Amino acid sequence: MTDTILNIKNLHIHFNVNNGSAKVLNGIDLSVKQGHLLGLVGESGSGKSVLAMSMLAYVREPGIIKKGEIFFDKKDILALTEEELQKKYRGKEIGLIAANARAHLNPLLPVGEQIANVYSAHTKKPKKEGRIKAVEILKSVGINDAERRAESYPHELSGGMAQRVMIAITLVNAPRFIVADDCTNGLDVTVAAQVMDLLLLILKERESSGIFITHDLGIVAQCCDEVAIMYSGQIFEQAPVKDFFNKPLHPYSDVLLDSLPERRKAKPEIDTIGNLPNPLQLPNGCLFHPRCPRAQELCLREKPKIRVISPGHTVKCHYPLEN
Amino acid sequence: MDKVIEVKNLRKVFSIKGIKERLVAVDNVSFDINESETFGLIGESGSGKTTVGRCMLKLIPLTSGNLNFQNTEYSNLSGHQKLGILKNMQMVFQDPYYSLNPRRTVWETVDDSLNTIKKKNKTERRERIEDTLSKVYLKTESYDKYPHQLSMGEQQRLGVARAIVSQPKFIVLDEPTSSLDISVRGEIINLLVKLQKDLGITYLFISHDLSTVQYLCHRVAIMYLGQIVEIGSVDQVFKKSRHPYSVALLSSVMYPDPKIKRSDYKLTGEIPSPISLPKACYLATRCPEAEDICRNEPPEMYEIDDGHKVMCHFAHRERRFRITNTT
Repeated sequence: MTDTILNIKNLHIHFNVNNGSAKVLNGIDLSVKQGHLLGLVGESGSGKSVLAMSMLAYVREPGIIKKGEIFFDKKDILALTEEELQKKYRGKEIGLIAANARAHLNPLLPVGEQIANVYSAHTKKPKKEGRIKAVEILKSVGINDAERRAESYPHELSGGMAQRVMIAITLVNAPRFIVADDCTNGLDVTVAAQVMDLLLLILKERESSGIFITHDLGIVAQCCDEVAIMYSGQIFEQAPVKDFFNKPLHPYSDVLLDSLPERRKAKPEIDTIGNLPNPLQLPNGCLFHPRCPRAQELCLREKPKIRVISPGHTVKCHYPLEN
Repeated sequence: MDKVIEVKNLRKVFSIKGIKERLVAVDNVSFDINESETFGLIGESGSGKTTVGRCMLKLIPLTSGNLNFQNTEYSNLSGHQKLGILKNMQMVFQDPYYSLNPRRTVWETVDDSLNTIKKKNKTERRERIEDTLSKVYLKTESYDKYPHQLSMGEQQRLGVARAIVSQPKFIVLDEPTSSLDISVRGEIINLLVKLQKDLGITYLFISHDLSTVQYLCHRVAIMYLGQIVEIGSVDQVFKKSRHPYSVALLSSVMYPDPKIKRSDYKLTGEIPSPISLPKACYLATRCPEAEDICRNEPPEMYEIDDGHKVMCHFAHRERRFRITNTT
């Protein structure tokens, strides 16, 4: 039985804004096993990035953690002090790879120096050693001519290269768990494939675990062991990848899969399915009921609880597809 | 079938301030599009596909080449004559939020688009706008809304409405689904298919989203560094690819089906800079099958099957790029 490395329980995060309280995370239940890669799929506004940040216990005003726990390796990281988190967890045990690398890199420092700084911060080793380590890791993320490239500024790199630098920064301290937030967004097909291949290789070599946040079901199918579907701050379904693509259980999962050209049944009419609910005014009962083609009376009144349909396959729905 | 658009030997070169080298964005591109057909132009960043679309609509001037619309050459026209041809063409842009005027409502946006054609009387005009908005499923409640009040899908549908209201024969779609969430892409794709069926519009679909291209297009051309490397029907190019770049590109696609695995066919190295292109074959520096002839002699277009052309010295070689194909 593989151990669970990350376990998020009933996480609620609200943002206090001028006109009320935006309920961004509404009871997230999510777990990742040691050595596994979980694909987290959700649309814009579903709360994915807030969830990613919360995995680093990084929730800042006006965001408030209302309820819930995050266990990393059986320790509740939300109970740790900021100092402990900064020194021992962020960047060291858990690393975050963001999208739009160039937006996150310091435009005033050569990339090699940025990698070296992150290395020194956690290992306390001298800068010189950090520079050597930086060149090493740049080579391992597939950047040719690493010595020269270490002196480049972010704006001198292509999108794909900048993304690989971001990966290098995150991986230099060999964290056991990676959160990759849409890290291939905006990259060309061939570059995205190169980046993902590389990331998977490094993660598998180190037996690291991770969560890939994406809206690309292709990445999920090809790179992940498990998938979780997120909607309006909740996890609607979690399953092994094969089971999910074979037999999705939640009506929303069906909508997502059906929107793919490869899987679409020939339907010439528009399916106007609308938007995610406004986090300032969430509906009662199941958050999906306004858009759900299977919604019934119970769905309007009561929030569904998690049901285990088959090993490793859970769903939050009163009337899941199989039954 | 009638040819609506013919592009012949299109070439576009940009000068870059401060350096003497010039950027060849489009290099000797030729293709035809038949009536009510969807022609896909595929390529990655820097392939020149967007520039081709812009040249075809005369948004930017050509460096050389010919453009024909229904047998009329229009690349050299100006004034009234040029407008006479261009009024048959429209464009749908990639990012609806940035391509819509934020200060015009849904109704006004479509109304503005009608100004490009002969003015109609008020009733006819109103009816045309209402008809167009209903065709894209934008309801009466949205008529007075501004773009920021619409969902992504509604914004892009407005972009489509703006393009079809003048009843163009030809629409260039420049990555119309790339900025959209996956569930919304389906909506737009379905709409485009329906409109083509109902109105007989011809499309040029520019994209790097290979799955959508495969679904929507009848014929496609794959571009690399400003050149077309392979052209043919969707079936020929996707299932019987002959150009190493096509194969590598298609191999990179991550299919949303865990049973379909990618092949190992890969390009090495980085893409050359477009201001210092290799002599001879542009792919030679990265191609797994490159030989001396590739580095010394530019390849020509070889027709390997009816309508299927490939620009490679070894076009006759078959290549497999999928290990498990369960289609």
